[in-house]
Amino acid sequence: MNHKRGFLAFIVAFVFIFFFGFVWHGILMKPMYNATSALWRTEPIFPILILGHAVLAFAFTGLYVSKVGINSAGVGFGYGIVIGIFACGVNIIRFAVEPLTTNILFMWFAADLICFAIMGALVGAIYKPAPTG
Amino acid sequence: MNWTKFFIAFIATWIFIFVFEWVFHGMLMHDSYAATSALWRPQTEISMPLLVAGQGVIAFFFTMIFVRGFGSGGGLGGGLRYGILLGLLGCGANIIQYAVQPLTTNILSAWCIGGVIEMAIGGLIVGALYKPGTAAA
Repeated sequence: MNHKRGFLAFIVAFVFIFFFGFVWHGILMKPMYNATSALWRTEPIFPILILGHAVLAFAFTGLYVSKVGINSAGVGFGYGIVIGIFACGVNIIRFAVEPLTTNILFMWFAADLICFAIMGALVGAIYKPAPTG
Repeated sequence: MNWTKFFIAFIATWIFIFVFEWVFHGMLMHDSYAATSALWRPQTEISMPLLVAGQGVIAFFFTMIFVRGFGSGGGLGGGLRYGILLGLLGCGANIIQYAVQPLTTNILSAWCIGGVIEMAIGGLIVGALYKPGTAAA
């Protein structure tokens, strides 16, 4: 395992997912969240929000590095798509038990697929296995 | 790829996730959800088909990532490590949810611990059941 490259991939994934979430959830989806305001905090708890993104980026990168471990943006993209569909399953369950709108559900599907696919491509492009021999 | 073993592992994981979440969320955490009822659909409005479908999607791709990622099969140890990492991924999502939704810290802690345990056991199941097919000569 190439820890230096893995760490670099984690940092890039973390920065990307945070800014993607800021634009997608904080700007694009703001009217949808305002329409369901009873479900959300008036202001997010930012340190916790950042921690959550860091844990997510760490697990996403860790899984790629330890189980896939190939230097390829294409393979990373495919990995991200599969993780994105996995996350869509979680969104369906949330929709089943929380009074969310279908607009929110579909926007979350799109967000997870796009975000994880790009994140996977980034991680795949950055990570290189340690040279052997 | 051994599709028969994949299918068996997927179905076993799906059943496990359904039973685990029924006990964990439906029984153990019932009081925590009752205390935050404004955040959830009333019992009568919860869509069971969607709930089960969501669990099916999770089980299918949980198994698929394992099978594709390991290729030759990771066994019990590999499955456990894989499950813990995916559980941590879910925990990250739970922490984000806590940051934007007025959940209690009890719910967050239970989700993180329960999620890692659930995915770790799921990884053990997939690792134990999936065996790669014999390569063509």
